[in-house]
Amino acid sequence: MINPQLSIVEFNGVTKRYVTSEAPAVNEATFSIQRACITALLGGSGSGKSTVLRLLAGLETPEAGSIVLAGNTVSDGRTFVPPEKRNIGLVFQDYALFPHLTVKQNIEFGLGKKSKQDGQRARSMLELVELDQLGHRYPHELSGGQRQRVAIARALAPQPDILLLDEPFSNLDDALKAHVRRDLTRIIRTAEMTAVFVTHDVRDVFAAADRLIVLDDGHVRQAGRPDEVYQQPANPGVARIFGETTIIKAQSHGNMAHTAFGEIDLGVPEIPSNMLICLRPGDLQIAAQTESGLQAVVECTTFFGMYNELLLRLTPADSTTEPVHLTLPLSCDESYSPGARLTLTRAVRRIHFWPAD
Amino acid sequence: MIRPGRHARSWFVSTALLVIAVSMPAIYVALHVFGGSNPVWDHLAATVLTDYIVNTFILMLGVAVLVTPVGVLCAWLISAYDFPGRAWLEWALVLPLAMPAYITGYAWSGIFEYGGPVDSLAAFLGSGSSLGIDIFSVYFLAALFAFVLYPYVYLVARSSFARQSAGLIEAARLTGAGNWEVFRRVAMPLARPAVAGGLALCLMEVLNDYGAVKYFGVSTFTTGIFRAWFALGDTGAAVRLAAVLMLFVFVLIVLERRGRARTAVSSSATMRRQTLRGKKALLALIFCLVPLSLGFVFPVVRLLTWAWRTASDVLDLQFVYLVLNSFALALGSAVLCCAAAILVLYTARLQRTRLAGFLAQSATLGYSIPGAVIAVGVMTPFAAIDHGIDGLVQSLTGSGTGLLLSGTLIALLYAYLSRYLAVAFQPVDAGFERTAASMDEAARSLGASPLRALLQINIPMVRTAILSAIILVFVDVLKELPLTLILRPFNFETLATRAFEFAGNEQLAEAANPALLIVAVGVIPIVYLNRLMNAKQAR
Repeated sequence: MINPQLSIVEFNGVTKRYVTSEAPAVNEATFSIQRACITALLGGSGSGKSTVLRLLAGLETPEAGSIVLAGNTVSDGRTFVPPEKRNIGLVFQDYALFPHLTVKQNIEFGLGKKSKQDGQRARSMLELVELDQLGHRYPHELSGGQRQRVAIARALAPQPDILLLDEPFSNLDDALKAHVRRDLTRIIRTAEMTAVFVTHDVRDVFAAADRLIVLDDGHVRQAGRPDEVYQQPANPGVARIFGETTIIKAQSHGNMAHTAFGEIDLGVPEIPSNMLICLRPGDLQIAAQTESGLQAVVECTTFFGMYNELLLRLTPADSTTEPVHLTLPLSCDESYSPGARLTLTRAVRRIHFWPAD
Repeated sequence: MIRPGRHARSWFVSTALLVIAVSMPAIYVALHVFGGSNPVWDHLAATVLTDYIVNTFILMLGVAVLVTPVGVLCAWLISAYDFPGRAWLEWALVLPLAMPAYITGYAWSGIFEYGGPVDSLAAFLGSGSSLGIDIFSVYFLAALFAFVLYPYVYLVARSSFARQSAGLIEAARLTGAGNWEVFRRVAMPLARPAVAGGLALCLMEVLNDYGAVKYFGVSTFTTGIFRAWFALGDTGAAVRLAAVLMLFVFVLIVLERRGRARTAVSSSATMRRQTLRGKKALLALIFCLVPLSLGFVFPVVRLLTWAWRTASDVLDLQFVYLVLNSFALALGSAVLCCAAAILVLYTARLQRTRLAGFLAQSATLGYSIPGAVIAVGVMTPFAAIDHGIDGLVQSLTGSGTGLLLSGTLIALLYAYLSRYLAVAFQPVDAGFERTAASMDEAARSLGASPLRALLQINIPMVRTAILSAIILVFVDVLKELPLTLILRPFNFETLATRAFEFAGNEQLAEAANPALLIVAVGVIPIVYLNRLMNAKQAR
């Protein structure tokens, strides 16, 4: 359990259903968000991740459950604090800069009369996002990356309890993305801000987040440190969010896992009698023919510039099991011709599995 | 959706009250479709009601048969071809909309008058007087309406052709279809629902008219309402007539809404125009010039010559007062309608519930309802309220209050609001649609109340739309006749009522000055909105 002193947001059994669909967009979500952390909400489209953000901001009303923000209940059956009273900073996917106001006026929109007059706050915000010279410009005179920084400055200016960002990296091309991720984390850390961002891209999570909450089909599936969640996904669904995942059935055979495609050592001394093995592209390596391992046939090798990718078909010993496919990264000078038979063994310290009955 | 907090609830309540208020006149009249027996009504039903229905049908049918080919073919020529004069015809073809039908009617009657241009031509050709055309007939009136109202069909057809994807047209051409085939088999079927909607708007205008039918002596529902109201002094019969008229309108509303719902084809690439040369270009030019001349150029020339002749008699200080009076009234109504439209639409934006959406929809019904019907629906209950208050106060204090609502500017403004809210609604709605929801949400998350978000974000962002809305309502109110005639305070004159009275006294030449001023103001939105549209296309 997380120390309530450290948590700034608490969701307790929050459910939200849109008028247009039967299934709830968010289904009995319970989780907390820690102070002074950058938390990522990860999920595919329709997973409910953006709805969670909007519920927290007060832009949507939950039909059940309660939300606590900075020690105050902002939403439950009886109370509902409107967005303007929640003291949150929100950065929209389209940035939502007011087109008829200058950069400086945009940043000052959320400030009281006093701090507006001396202009100090707006100046320091412009400095923070490194746009000191552009305060007099209008949003349409800025580049995409600059607009995003204005949106962040505007959200941070009234000193909110928490900064929420909706898909902050999705409108950017790949070359700019890495740069923006670094910038954004620097700005948030400099401002000592608690931040939550929504994304569908696991690379954003690893690059920018301290904590991760995985959503799928409206449910919170797992929460924790990003590397923990990656290494020990709670179920196949969570594992698949991180990319290609091959899942095969196995039985224990001593401390080896016995599958239809051969035996494999999972790197764990004690294994349950029945399990599902979770194989990611980097988990296996090609072994000498003599060793025992998973039996595979090469389908093709694809050149990807920095590396080659081998598409393999695991071949079952008996004919009742369907063959499965998996890919294996190789260095770019290695390649195998189609039809070659290979044996695969464990490449990592430990291969993840789920006990099954 | 932002939940109706305490603020949002007051928005909702004010909107609901406003919408109920503006729909009241129509509801009041609609409730009287099946009234009890009434001697005047029975008399009307036995004698003239058939006439009203037959004449109304002939007018509607005649207009439909004429405006559809004229409007659609002009739109097709403008959209699919390039020929000398195309660029200015594109907007000039809309100009007849600046002319209220009654003013065009006065002008045409002047063109046909004894010793007028047509008469001289007939004498020259040696044919009978006025080429044997009887202008004071329902058939001539139908043609007249058609050349005033075809721009409604032209506009919707043109925008429908513009929205059709170039890909569709090109695909049809690649199968070997000629231009006429493309028009007949692809473009026209796609535009049909929109054209039906535009036609419905034309017919609503026909039902709304009082000035022209009165001048040409054709008895329709509107003339019947006026007769029952003013000549027979029977408000009950007037309300019943208004109710029957509303049945006609209802059919048109359904037609129009269906047309709008089914015109969702959209595309960024528009069809490429083919250049016409020589004889074909000349034919296209002449085809477009005919409706423009009949609906605008000839009548305006006639009015100008009259105005020139009578200017010294008519243009005096009193005329200046008349103009100021009309303009102030129109501007006041425009601002009122615009504010109401903003209130209703912003509430729908705050709530995004079905109920709020339904309220917004209901607020726009008034425009379909003829002015005379709205007037009757305002006057009757207002008079009853006035008599009630007067009686009550008299019994308490011994002296009455007189008329507080009926026969005052309040009644007139209220009726304009009821009828023209929809006119302000459309541009403001389009403006709000273009404003991303995240703008409001951003403002709210930065601590702004709904009111502050409206004043500092939404309104500045849609200011052009608001300006268009004000201009459109201004022009509509300025040329409005039947509603104003019924509800205006005693001795209160507008440009429209003054022109109507001159014409009624056979002083057509004197009517030309106020009439021309109405037309001149009516041209403003056509030019302004055209420039706005061009600016958007250029961007």
